[in-house]
Amino acid sequence: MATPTNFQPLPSARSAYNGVVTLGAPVAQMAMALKQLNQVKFRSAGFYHVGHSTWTYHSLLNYTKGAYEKNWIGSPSKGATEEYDLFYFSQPTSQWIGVEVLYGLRTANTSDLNNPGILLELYEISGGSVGTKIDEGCQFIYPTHLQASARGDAVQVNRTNTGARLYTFPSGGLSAPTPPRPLYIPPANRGDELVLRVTAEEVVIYAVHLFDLFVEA
Amino acid sequence: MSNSFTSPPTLADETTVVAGQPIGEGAVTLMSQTANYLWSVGGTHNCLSQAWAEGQFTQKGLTYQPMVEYVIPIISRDHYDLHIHFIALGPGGVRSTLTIGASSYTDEVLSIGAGPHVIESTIIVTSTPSQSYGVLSIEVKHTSGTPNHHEIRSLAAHWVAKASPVSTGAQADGLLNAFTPFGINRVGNDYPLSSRWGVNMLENIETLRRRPMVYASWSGVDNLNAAPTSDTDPAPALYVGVGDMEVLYSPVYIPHEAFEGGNFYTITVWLNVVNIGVIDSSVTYVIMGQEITVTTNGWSSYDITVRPEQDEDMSQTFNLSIYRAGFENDQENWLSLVSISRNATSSPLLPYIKGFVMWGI
Repeated sequence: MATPTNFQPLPSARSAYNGVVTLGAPVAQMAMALKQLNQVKFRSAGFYHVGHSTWTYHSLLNYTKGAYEKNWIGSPSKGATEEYDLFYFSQPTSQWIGVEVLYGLRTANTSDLNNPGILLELYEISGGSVGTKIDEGCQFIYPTHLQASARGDAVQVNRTNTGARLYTFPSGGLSAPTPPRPLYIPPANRGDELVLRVTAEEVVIYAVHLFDLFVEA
Repeated sequence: MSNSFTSPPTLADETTVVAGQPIGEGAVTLMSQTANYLWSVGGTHNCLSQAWAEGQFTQKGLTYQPMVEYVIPIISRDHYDLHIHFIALGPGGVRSTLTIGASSYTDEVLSIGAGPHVIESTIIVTSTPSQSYGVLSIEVKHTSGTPNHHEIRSLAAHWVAKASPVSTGAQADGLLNAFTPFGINRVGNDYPLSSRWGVNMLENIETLRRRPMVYASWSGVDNLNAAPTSDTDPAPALYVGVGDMEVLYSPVYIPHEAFEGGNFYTITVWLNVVNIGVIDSSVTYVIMGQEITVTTNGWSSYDITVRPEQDEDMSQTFNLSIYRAGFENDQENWLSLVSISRNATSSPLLPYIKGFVMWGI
């Protein structure tokens, strides 16, 4: 049976009282409810806001007392790289991680772009540091997967994600990042504390949202 | 009688327990193990996540300064081990304090290393929590050495999953909803399907459905050692600004029942607001389509009861009902969040949001 994605009504507790004939239906409803909890509700997730400098409006907003204005920060310089290591506490049932990235390219002048892109890679934590790479990852590149900003040199917020199409790995595994796809947690690492490394070239990262894909049991 | 489980669980085949046929052997055992597993492991992923660009969340001072603060849910009274992970740079210390009611628990980790490194901090809650949430305050200091500051690039926390078996006796979550673990030896094939099992299972499922899942967590960075004097100095945001409406907007799965009345399912918004009462006695924000009016300083909580629009694109892509948890692009927020026209140099001071957390079912 298909997994219910919302909370289905449960049978009355009276259906399990002494003196009541217990038929299969209440037990089946309980089984479906447990399946929903395991496959849908208790999926792992991590929602990262990435804070940037408010210096642009320092004169008006007075350093830490400020936040972003609509136009955000100044554009990143040509060739600028940002790198983030984001923790993901997976569940034993975790298998595929979907990722949404909120970003802005450095300029709307596309002739001035120098191969902007975003690389996502998955690592395990080992010995108190970021350890072995467990998924070669995927890469978003401009203009195939990323959009340029629409207004001047001010960085605007765009969204992109890995999609939910499960990937079939070639025999022998991968040796380089693929186009955007969900990241894969090998069986040995499920339930572990993992790190998603986000490397952005000429792209400002505003937020990264990670979540287990819902996969039918 | 061990309340054991396998991890990950093997789900019962629900087609073996449908109406019109005997309840299949093994199904009740698997369902009992799954319930025990979900109590121990469910919801033990990130209850806090935030990151900063290079050079922003830094401390040059040699004494601890409180820099960020969050509210986190107590997922159960059985989970007492909170792990906090940091990506840090430079020599320094991180001291984390979790306050639950009148009880406080602290852990301190010192580290060195100019490059990015992982810090793992553990807070053990040693007495029964008296409320359903805790306030996590994180202090940072620099210790002598190179570079001349201690920097945090990202942080995340989670309650550590419990290993099999579940502790004996009835358990409770942070809101005192009960969970009665199943002794696996009593639910084997040759044992009766008791009334007690059915009643407990229904109650356990309800309790697990209410376990909070964090949708968003954000803190301003306070107490920098010095004000910036150039664009190379740290200048992280202290308050939520109008630009955050596009960004502090998580795509979260929420079952529709969360928005219905007449049940115990809730979505909770926590706001840490300052400057209420200086000039304005209240301030209103729109979060997930609902107006929230704040009248007190510090952390305060509000329930979401209005069902907002789904994010249809994300829902179709990921095959679940996905909503956006965060600040709506709404006129009320444009008027209330920090912006060029409403900034922190205003005198007298206006209300601002210094911390924001959301969780729900």
